[in-house]
Parts: sequence; structure tokens; C-alpha cells
Amino acid sequence: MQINCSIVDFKKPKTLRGCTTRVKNLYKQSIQAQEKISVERAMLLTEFYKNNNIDSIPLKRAAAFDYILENKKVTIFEGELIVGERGELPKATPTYPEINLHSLEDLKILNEREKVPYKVDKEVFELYKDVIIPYWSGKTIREKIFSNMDKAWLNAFEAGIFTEFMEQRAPGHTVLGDRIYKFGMLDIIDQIDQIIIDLKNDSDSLSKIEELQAMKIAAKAIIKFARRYAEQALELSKTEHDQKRKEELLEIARICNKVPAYKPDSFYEALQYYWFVHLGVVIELNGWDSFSPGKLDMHLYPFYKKDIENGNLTKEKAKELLECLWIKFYNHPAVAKVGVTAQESATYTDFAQINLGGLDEKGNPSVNELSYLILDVIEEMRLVQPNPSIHVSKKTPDEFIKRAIDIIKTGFGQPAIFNADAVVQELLRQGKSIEDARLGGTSGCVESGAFGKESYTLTGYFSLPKVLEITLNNGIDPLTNKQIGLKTGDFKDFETFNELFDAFKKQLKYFIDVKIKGNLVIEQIYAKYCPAPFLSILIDDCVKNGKDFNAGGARYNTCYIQGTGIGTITDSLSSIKYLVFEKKTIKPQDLLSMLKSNFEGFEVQRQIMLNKVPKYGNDDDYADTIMQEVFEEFFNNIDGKATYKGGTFRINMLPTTVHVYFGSKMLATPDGRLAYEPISEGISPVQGADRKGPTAVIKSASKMDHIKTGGTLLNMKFTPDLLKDKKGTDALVSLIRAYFKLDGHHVQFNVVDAHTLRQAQKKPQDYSDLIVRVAGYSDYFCHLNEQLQNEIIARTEHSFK
Amino acid sequence: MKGLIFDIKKYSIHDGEGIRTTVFFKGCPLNCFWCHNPESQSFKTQIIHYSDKCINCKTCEIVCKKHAIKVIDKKVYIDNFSCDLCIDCTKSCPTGALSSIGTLYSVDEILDEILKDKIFYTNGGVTISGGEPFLQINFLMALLKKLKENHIHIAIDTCGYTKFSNIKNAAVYADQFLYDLKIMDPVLHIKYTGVSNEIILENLEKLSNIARDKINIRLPIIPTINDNLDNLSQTANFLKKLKISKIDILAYHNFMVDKYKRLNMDFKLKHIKKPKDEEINSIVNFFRSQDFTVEVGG
Repeated sequence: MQINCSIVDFKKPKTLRGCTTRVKNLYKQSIQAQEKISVERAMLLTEFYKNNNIDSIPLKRAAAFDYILENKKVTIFEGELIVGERGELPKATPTYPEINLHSLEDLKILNEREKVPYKVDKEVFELYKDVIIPYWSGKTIREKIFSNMDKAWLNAFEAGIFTEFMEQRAPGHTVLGDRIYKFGMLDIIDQIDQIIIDLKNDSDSLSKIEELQAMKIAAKAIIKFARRYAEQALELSKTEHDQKRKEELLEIARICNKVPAYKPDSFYEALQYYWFVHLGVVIELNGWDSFSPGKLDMHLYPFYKKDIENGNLTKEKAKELLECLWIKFYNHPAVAKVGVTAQESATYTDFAQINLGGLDEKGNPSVNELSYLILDVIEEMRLVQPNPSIHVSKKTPDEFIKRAIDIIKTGFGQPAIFNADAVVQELLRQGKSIEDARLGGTSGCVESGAFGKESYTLTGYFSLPKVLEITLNNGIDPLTNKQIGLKTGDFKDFETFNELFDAFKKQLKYFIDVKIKGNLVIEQIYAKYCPAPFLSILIDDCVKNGKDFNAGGARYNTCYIQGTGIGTITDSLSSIKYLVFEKKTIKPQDLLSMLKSNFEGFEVQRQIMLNKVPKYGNDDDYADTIMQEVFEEFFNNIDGKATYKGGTFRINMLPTTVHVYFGSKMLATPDGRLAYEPISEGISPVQGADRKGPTAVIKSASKMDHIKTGGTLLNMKFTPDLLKDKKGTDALVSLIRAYFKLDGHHVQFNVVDAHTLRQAQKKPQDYSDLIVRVAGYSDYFCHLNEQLQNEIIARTEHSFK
Repeated sequence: MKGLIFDIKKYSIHDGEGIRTTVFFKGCPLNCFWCHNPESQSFKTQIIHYSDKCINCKTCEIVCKKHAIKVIDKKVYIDNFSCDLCIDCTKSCPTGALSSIGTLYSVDEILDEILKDKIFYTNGGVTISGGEPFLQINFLMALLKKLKENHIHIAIDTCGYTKFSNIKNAAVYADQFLYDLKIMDPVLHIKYTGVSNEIILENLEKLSNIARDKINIRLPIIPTINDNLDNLSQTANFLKKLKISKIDILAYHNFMVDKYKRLNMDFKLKHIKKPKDEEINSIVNFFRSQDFTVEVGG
């Protein structure tokens, strides 16, 4: 997942953030640290693979994991309370050559690109050239994937019909449940031993034993890793002159000796335990969306409460510890991509989502004192990661939403807001137990899952508008003139809209089948070649089943395909229905030439398409019904199909930033969009197509059956002015409540700053959905005259700190 | 029966409580110098042109049956004598550069739009504003009745310049009145709004006798015109006499100057700047110190 979940970057902070000087210093260190490629993991892995011949893949991967943790650099930085880093330094980002191997050219791009660079030292280039590339070339998962895909898949992939998540990163989006708060790794090792003893001799038992042995190695490895930190802390304490710091180091040593070997007993121990586990997961593999603690407020609250009651912890100390954890998350940029993606990928954010509020297993709202304290931390730290969200059930008090709005108002898109009741319904529909559903939540951008019990992987974005483009061209991609789809008939010969829609349905089914066929192979590749024994001990019931997380060991297994561009395809179909088949003011062959020529010489027709056709986002059933039909087709072709590892395919509706990429692979569309421009994002209307305000957007969006998805993403932009007073906050609460009553899954409010408004003035076409409050009413920023825009910019500047 | 409406704004959050839909009636008996919605004054549909959106396609010229419109260099010239306001031109303008202010709606058409947002009205509802809603009394009454049947909270924003029987009839359905008080001095009132305030004050008094709790006074603050202590004291005294306690302070702004230009209307307050926050605060305090419940907004 990238961007959209929150869009602020700040390399040069005006103020240092954190509730204590210690945190401020750590904050400074983290903000100023340079994102770099760390070669440490790749080198250790390569050394290990070169020198060890272990036949069993799980055992080999577990032993390699152990080797990396045993030999990687261990440092405790000045003032740290939570210890452990993924690389040698904050923001030193490891690579995973067994998955995708950076070429020297990739490294050069990463090093030199202007935006979001990862600096690559000369030594790293050398080691890649001499050691890493020669060893891994031809052995990577990425190569296995591409060499196993058929022509139809490769055609569709290259044409921008869909993307593939697992070609660069391992299956991810995984969220922890409460396992680590109940068991130490030694308990888990005991459990594994017992399961090995109880194993019945069947055809799988050998592979189960191998897998379980691998899990044991991984569990032991993380204990040893933590104890290396304990030794380091003890060592440092010997030379530490500051008495207070000396005591802190001794406490760190004590904690790192205890967790993760034993279960935590205090708030501090629980946090440190989580962080070791987090490090284990992100060092073992480069799974998507980092790794997430899930319902952090719920899991930590018993520790917090007990410590406070016993006088072992103060609220301030708890806040400081949480802030230290926040910095740890911020120290970890997303892993660097390869190939074209390396050029395009424009964010360091890795989307570890932290869920606040929501429900407990009995269905009670689980907002507690710690939920509010964590919101304080979010407001204080203003970091783009971790990526926090609040989960609102009908039982959640308004005060909690209002506190979140207070933070949203300050203008950095956090926290996102989710409908806890909808998430439960979604998970129930997918067949989860009610308890598992309630203890679920969302990760990555908006994806629903049963925390601690599910492998739910996003497998790729799917461009709905591109399928329409192929349909209009009888299976040919007009960008390359290649026949990549079915021959479903010449658009010129269609006499009714339904004929066109039937052709679209056939193409859609075809491309979805191509995507799914590819997915099944890719799943097998990961199951066979890329087990994740460490992750497996964290997620129920991998241990019980003696089966790897990547092979279907989890209690639930789901593969999502994410539909993108619902706004663009709806408006395009609406345009064709209205202008070509009903009003008959545009002939089919003329439409095709308009699209081919990028409306060159057809500006009047384009303006009609933009302004005079019913559009999604305006609570207009003409367009919204088309949206529902497209959605149902997409759903029916995917939902319920079996995955390779015994799970089920489901759908999601979210874009991250792929709508820009998909747009770049398309000519002009019948909604008036010009060639190569982005398509619509999430389930948001086409940029600027919504003309009736936020309530109409919410009504249109809620006509989609969210409960049939595993997540939808709706972005709305507001200026701070619209939220400046109590009335603004109250109205937003009502807006959210109404959307959730209509089963909406997620909404996020971007409160924009003056800079954005200025950009909007320069490029109104890119900001046409920006809503501002003028005077007693709200309007679209781009509809206002320049003088008024300037006035609002001036006001907006004042409202920001 | 149709009503002439110039806008239906959803997600209105400063025209009464909660999320509201505001329906703007076109036509006003007053002609205030500071009018923030000059397009609301005329009782006729008006055609307005945004040359920045015009692409010189001349579709409007082609569709006009009366040959009353000419486009030269993205500027539109309308012959008002020939134009019969059929608005074919605005309907067919591809970019929306040419648009009409004022559309005829039936009660059911407006109701459909309003009901679309019913789920948002938990603490809100509908505000009828303008212009002056009471100028279209039959249409207004029909709409109010329908709204009440649908259990929707109703606020009416009025200048009070109408027959009291109209207000009385509306009070049966309305849950709230947003009642404008502009200037207490009758002569100055005539000077700046075009009408005497006698009926307005009288109506307010009568309304206070039958529906005191439903009244919110809306007080626009126009620097140098009505922000003097004299006017404010008279206002306060009058309201105290009527035992009306809720006041909304609306600060003057000049965001609408551009609208005057586009409508070829004369804007008479060019020299006046919007009041400073301190001034608004001191006026708020002035009323609060006399036990009024005061909110700033609008």
C-alpha cells in the first residue's frame, strides 16, 4: 500500500516532537536519518546459502533467519527505551534478493532519483556486483513467477489490466492477535514439541515435522536475538556514567532477557516484546504492508491498567514509551522496489496500521483510556507511520470520534475512520466465527481480516476502465494494437447499451480468469519456495496445523483482488448509455475516433461528456445503478473461488496510487478523461465529477454493497475552515455516522493546507473535488473566483500552526 | 404549482442545527446594500456567464430560437428584449459557462432532492432561505406541509417583511425561525434596504407571542452602518422586551462582489471592509453580558 492513506511528508521539521527531551532527540535522529539501502541482510543470507546445504526448504529458511539474527549488527542508540533495528541504523533498509534482485541499474535509480531516494553506498554497489547478483541471479521468486506465467497473463499484465503484488514482495498485510501477550516463545516451543509428539503418521507428517522444526528454530532465533540486545545493554551500562541512564540500560537488559522468551507482565515488556516480533517478521521476509500490532489499545490496556494501579507506571511514562515505539515504526521505510516500479514508487510509507477502538470479542466497544492516550501520541508525533485508524461501531461514543476529528483537523489525514460493524459483517459473510470477526479489523490501507488468525493477501489491482477500453476495441489494446482480449464484437455493430454491457461482462470474466489462474501459480511458488516459519508461529493455527503461513497454515486464508477505477468506468458507461444509445447525439464510430484522437477537434463533445452526463458521486440513480452493475459483475466473477492453499478469493475496492499507473496505460475515456490521465481512485467519484457535496458522495458510495467486499476506500478533502468550530465537528460526526449506517466501510478526510490550495489554483483540473467553506456555505474551491480563492488561502494559512 | 428556486445546497452546517439542506427561494422585497446573495433579489430567472469556462463553441447562438444571444471572444451578449428566458442556451452549454439562476421546481421535485439526504438529518433538517421565502407563500406552504409529513425539522430564514398571517400559518409547521434584524432606525432601514422596518418589527413581536422559543435572531454586522452602540442597544432592548434570547451574529464580508459584476448590478459598499475579529468579539460580549445566547456564524 502506498500514499492516499495519508499524504504529508516533512523532512525538515520546524519543531521537534515528543513529550520528553529523550523522545525529541530520537525524533530528530529519525527524521534526519537518510534512507539507505542496507546490504547487511542480503550479505548474511548469501553467505549462509553459499555455505550450507540443507535440503528442506523450511529448515533452510529458518536456519538462514537464525543466522541473520545471530550475526546482524546490534546497536542500542542514545536514549532509547525500545530497542532493535531492522538495519544497522534507523532507515537503513534491507533488501531481499531471494524475492527480487536489484540490478545495478535499479540501485542507481534508487540512489539518484529526486523523489524518495534510497542512498546506495559504493560498497553496496560493489557487493551487489561481486557477490549478491552473481549468487541470486536466476534463483529469485520474481523470476520464478514471470517464467511461469502464460502469454495471456503477460499480455494483460503489460497492458495495465492488472498488477501483481507478489512479484516484488511476499504475501503480507498480516496483523497480530493477542498470542504474544499470552505466551512467551518458550511456551510456543513447548506447544510445538507437543504437537510433534501428537502427530499422527499420515502422508503429510514429514512435511509437518519439517515445518514445525523450522518454526522452533525461528522461535529460538528471536529469543537469542533479544538476548544479544540484553548483553549490549549490560555492556553499555558498565561504562555509563549517568546513573539514570545506567538504570535504564539495566532495565532494558532485564526486559530483553525476559521477552520474548517469556510472556510479558508489564506494559513496557509488552511493547518491547511486540517490537522484537515485528523485527522478526520484517527481517524474515519483505511482506506487504510491514507488520501490524492490530488492536494495540485493547491488547495493551490490561498491562497499562495493572501497572498504573500498582504504581509501576505513570500516564506520562506510558506516553513516552509509546512515542519511542512510534519512532521505531518511522525508522522503517518501505522496502525498495526493482524495475519500473523502482522509478514510480513514490513513498517511504509502509502502512503498518494500528487499530484503535472497535469491538471486543463479546461485541462491546473497546475504547479505553489507552485509546485516548494513543490518540494523544498520534497528535504529538505527527508521523506518517505507523498509520493509525479509529474503528467506530454504533456503540462507540461520539467523544471518541470527536477526539479523532480534533487530530484530523490539524491536517495530516490521520487517523482514518473505519466502520467496525461493517468489518464484522464482512468477515462473518466470509465465514469467520463471530468472535474472530469482532477481534478483526483492518490493515494496510483498508483491508479487513481476522487478526492473528488469517493470511489475507492482496494479489493485485485490477483496472475496470481498461477492460472497457479493450471491449470498445473488440479485444484489442488500442495502445499497442495487440489482440489481448476476446473478440466480443465490433462496438459499431451494437444496437443497444445491453449488447455493449454483455460484451464487457465477457471481457471482464476473461481477464479475471487470467488473473486468478496466475494467482494460483504464484501462491504455489510461495508455498513451495518461500515458507515463513517465524511468521507462522505468530498466526493461529499454523503451529496446530503444522503448516506454513504461506502454504495455508492459518485458520483463514483469503486472496483479495482489488478493483480500481469504479468512478471512471461508471461515468464512461453512463456517457455511452446516455449520449450514444439514448440521446444518439454521438455515433459509435465517432466516439471511437474521439477517444483515439484524444478529443482533438472534439472539445465540445468532451465538455458535454464532462458536464452534461449523469455521473457517479451525485446521488443520481442513473449513474449509480451502472456502478452497482459493474460492481456485481466484478464480485460475481471472483468471490468464493478457491485459492491454491485452501482459501477463498474475495474482492476489495481500493487503489493506493495505482490509479495513476493504470491511467498512464489508457487512452482517453468516454467520460471526457484525456489519455494517460489518472483514473478515479478507490470508490471516490472521478476527480471533479461530484458536484453536489459530501452527502451526495456518501449516498452514491453507499449504493455499493460494501459488506460483500473486504474493504473499500473513500477519500474526501476538506479545508480546515469546514471543521473550524463545534458545528463543523458535530456535522462531521453525523456525516460519518450516516455513512456507517449505510454500511460504508471506511472514510478519510484530507484537511488541506494553503500550499495545496495554491496548487489547486494553478492546476484546478487536479483539485476539482476540493471542498471549502466560504461564508455560511461550502463550495468547490475551483468554482470560486480568484479573489475569493486568495481570501481562503489567506485564511487557511492562519488556521495552521 | 411551481416555485422559483435559485439553489439547493446540501451539507449546510451553518443555517441552523446539524446537517441541513438549504433551499433558496428567488426574489426578495428588500434590496440591502450588503446583500450577500444578489442573485436572490430578482424574481426572474437570470442568465449568467463565466467567460473563463467559455470555449467559444457558439452552441448557445445555434440553439437560441429568438436569436437573442451573441458570443464574441468568449464574451456573451444577450438582447434582453428578445430573450424570453427559455434557457435553452444554458441547458445546452457544454461547459456550464452559461448558466441560469432560478429554476422552476414542483414541490415533489424539491422534496425528492431533500429526502435523498434524510439519513443525514439526525440533528439537522431543512432550512428555507432566499431571497425571501414568504414571497412565494402558496408554494412555501405546500412545501412545509410535505416536509412535516416526512418528519423533517424545518427552519425558515426570513427578513420578516410579509403579512403576519403568512408567518403565522408557517409557524404551524416551522420548528425554527431565523429572523433577520438589520437596522432599528426606520429611516436608515429604508435608506439601506429599500423598505421600512415597521412591519418587520411588528411581525417579530407578534411571532414572539406565539412561538418565542422558535426564534433565532440573525444580526448581520455591517461596519459603519449598523455596528454602532446606538443600534446595538436598541436591538438589545427590543429583544429583551420581546423576551427573545437567541442571537446569531453574522459578520459582513465582500466575497460576493464578483457576483454583482456578473449580474450587471451596482455594488454600493465598495469602501467597507469586513469587521475585525475583535469587533465581532466585543459585539458578542455586549449581547452576552445582557444574558443573550449568542453564536457567531453564517
